[in-house]
Amino acid sequence: MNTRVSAGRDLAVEVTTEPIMAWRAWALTGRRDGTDLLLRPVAGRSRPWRPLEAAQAACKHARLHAAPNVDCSCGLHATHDADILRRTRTPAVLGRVALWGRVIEHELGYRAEFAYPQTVSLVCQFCFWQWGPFGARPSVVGWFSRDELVPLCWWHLEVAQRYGMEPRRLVQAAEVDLRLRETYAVDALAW
Amino acid sequence: MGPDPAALGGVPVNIGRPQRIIEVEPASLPLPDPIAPGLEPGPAIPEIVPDPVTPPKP
Repeated sequence: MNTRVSAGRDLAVEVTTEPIMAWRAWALTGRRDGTDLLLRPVAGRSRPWRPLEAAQAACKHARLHAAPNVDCSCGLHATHDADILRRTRTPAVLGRVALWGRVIEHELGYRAEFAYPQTVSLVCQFCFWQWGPFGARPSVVGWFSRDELVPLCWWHLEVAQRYGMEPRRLVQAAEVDLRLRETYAVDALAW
Repeated sequence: MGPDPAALGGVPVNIGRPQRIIEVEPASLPLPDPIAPGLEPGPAIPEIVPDPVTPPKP
């Protein structure tokens, strides 16, 4: 690994040939029958991560610089630990992701130029929020408006329905999990 | 340095301050084989049909 000093920010610059592995959460969309699965950034309807293609960062705030930029917040985010991802709004899929190209390492994670998932698993977002990644295995996947797919355990499905979050259709989580891994040609996250 | 709203859902998942820049130039890209499964869409996943509820006896 070579080391030199970045101009302006005094950040060390290192060069390596090994992709960086980190944690990431995604939202999930698909058709009502569980096909056309797409991993998406957790926010809204941002650009999906296409199967078999590297995700590439772009900056929507300032198109004049390449992403990630040290002085911006752009880039494909990932974290050192899975636990911090419990703070995300609607995590449906948790996984390990490979990062490459220009990668800015932060205290708790990374912002990268290119990324592709390596292992993925569906999570019940409510279990994930409460107990972390290792108690969050869902039983079903609910299909909601705008093709949003929400994995849920039986208990949280019942709670969600009680509060008016009624899925239009339910499919088995195990089948969606398998289809997702086939779609992206990746392995299951080891729990 | 705040989080990327597009990447993290508008909920602050603060990854802290930048520490260093890593230029990763992999010898081979960490992407699956392009002929790997997934190019052909699979069949529809069957819907879970709830058990019919037995009506209460009068």
